[in-house]
Amino acid sequence: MNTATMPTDAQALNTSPPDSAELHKIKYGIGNFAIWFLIIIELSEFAFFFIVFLIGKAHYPEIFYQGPPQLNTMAAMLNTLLLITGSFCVARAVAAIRRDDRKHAVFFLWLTFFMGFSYCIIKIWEYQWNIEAGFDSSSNYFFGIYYYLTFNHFVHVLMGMSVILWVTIGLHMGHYNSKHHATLESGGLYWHMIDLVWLVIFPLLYVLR
Amino acid sequence: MTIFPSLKRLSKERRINFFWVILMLLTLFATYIAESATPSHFIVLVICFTTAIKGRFVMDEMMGLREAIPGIRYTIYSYFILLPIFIALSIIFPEFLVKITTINP
Repeated sequence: MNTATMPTDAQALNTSPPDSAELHKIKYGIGNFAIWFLIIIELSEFAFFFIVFLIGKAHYPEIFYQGPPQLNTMAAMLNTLLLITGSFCVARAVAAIRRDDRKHAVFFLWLTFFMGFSYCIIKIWEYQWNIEAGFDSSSNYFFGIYYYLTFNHFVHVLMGMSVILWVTIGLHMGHYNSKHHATLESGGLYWHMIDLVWLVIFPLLYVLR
Repeated sequence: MTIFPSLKRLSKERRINFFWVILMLLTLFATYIAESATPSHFIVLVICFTTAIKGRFVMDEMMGLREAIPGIRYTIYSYFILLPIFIALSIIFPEFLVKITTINP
């Protein structure tokens, strides 16, 4: 046995049992069981939709080839930039709370909420733009899957905004600090999951032909 | 595995700032390619590779997935490896996907 890793008597006497936050950190590193379970389930759900889309694309190549140029790529690109910036803001908020900088954490969380809100405005405008161009969910298979996938993601953004709002209020009320911020961290992980899903939706629906 | 090992010296905040800029540039690059280049298998591979890289940057630098336990870390890493590969293969070889998903051919 390597004696260098064995605690001395003095160290053993000074070691107090870890509290719940420490145990949680030891067990999952970051986040908790519930949030990782939810993230894996959500990612699997979207993976299923992506597979359905690809099967449709393989069976109806003409319709799916003509689909992306009929969409508003500029709106999708702006939304990608907004979601990436949202992820950036959440990451900065978590980094800030880890050094007890509540002021910056609050600022970045509100900025994340604003990014989500801007995403929703652009998405609604994009849907309006599609309808004016004569494309709705019944136009063809491509638009059917496009509306199903993007609206599902839109609903997830709304849920993510609610989570961000919840942890922002918690932070305003002084519930989180450098030692206890697991809920804030989990809320941030959920937001990152929404961004990750969009990183696949953007090339799949708008870019690849 | 660290994609940019020399960035380890940077503070957490500076790393986040750096990768945010990289992600924005990769998004603009992918959009430019999509709008300007003629669709080809090479473009499909470039876009899928860019997607995988962007996913990895978000997971490592924004999410902090490196701090998660290996079981969770590798499950989520594999998502952004397997999915872009599947997307590329299904676009490059659609006949095979049609063959295995056709009922009563």
